[in-house]
Amino acid sequence: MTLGDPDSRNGGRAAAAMAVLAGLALACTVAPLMADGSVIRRHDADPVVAALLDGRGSLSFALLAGLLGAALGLGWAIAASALGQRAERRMMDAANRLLALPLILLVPLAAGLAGGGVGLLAATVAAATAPAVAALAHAELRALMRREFLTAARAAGLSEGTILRRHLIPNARRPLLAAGALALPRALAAESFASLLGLGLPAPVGSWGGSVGLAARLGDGLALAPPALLLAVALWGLCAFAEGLRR
Amino acid sequence: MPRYALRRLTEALPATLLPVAAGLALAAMPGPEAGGALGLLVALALTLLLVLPALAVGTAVGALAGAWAGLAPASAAGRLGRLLAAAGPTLPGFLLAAVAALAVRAGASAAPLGWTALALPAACQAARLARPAMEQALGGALGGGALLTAQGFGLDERTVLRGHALPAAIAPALGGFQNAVLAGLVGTVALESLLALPGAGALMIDAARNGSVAGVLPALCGLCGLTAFLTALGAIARDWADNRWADNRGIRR
Repeated sequence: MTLGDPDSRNGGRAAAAMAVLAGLALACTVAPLMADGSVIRRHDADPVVAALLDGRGSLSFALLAGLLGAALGLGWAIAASALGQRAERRMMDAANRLLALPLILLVPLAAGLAGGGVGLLAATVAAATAPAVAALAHAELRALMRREFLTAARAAGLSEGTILRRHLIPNARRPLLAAGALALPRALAAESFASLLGLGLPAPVGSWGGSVGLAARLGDGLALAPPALLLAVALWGLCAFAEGLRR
Repeated sequence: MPRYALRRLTEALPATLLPVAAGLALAAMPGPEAGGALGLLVALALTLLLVLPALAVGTAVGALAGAWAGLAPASAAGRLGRLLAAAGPTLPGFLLAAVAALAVRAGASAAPLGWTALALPAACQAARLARPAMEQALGGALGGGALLTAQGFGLDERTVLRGHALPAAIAPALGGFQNAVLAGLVGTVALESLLALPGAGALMIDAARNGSVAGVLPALCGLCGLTAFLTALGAIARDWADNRWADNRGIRR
């Protein structure tokens, strides 16, 4: 691997993305120290501090819903691969059909119709992100199954359990992790979209999307810029991290 | 109309018409949210008017700029392509819709800003896909063979570029059109809602705010049908690019 090749570039980008995300998470964590007074009120605070305070809600929700979505999607793909050809075809057909629908629209709709709540929102976001994770994880698993070392292991007479333990699980870990990481930016985008429309995270929790939506409605450019920029940076970081894991 | 376009449209008819028909039927039912089937149809037409030109222009510009970034990265168009490709994930449609809504409240004209906000994510996505495809077509291990063969037949650089490399770069960008459609629709819903435009997205979100399932379902069905229709248009464009490439290479389909 040389400095200019795509693998090296992606590795560097993934490392930069991790550094940016860590910095962002740290800034959001210490944001209350930047706010003056004992009671933190986002609307009274400086726009940058307010955006950092909102980041705690957005990032922690993205982590929660993204992990849920990743688990659901990975479970879907693994179950499809394990249950035989017919079930695999049906399950992955369903995932691909769902992928063609605007599932992200269900997030604000569910929040609006069911009256909100973080749990429901997380479940809806997870359900909306799972098909994409399942499709990618399944494609990675299929590619892995076709690799020559598995054929060689079977030809050498190794049992399926040994093949699973020694070859399949160690080699599948990274691609599955990469497929699961895809859920994080999607979860953040879905929550931000719903919050922007006023149908996302409850106001006390705080959200970049909610602040952007409020500022856009009020016509306040100064209040819009910090959360919009932080949201864009976080989305870039999460996407670059997921892509870096894939290659 | 070419045969492949007719085939694609025929294939997409059930996925397009059934949800739209279901939405219209639900909208026509008597109830507190009775805006009527005609109201939904007008709202869907407005949404289509917002999203279709933005997707078409965005994808075309992004694909060309991305292809140029693969061909001449240091040129102005190449720089634009690289910028679009790099900016991809940081510019979701709903965020740009919020910025557009802010600018409209400050006195800017709604239509061009709205279309630009919706076109940018599609352009970023297309540039992201077209750039590596162009690089591969020009010298990569897999796609480069066709170009070397074309040059071996004595075709000049411009013909090779226009007839072989460009379609090879544009085809993947059109292949990713479905994602652009989904992102475009999300941006459109946000734009309609923030600017209070009477589109299907705003109808749906208003109904959700009021907790009305009867108001949400017709618009949601209509938007699903619209998604299928737009995706089919993308598939037709991709088939056109594939056929053009095949014709240039002397392959008959």
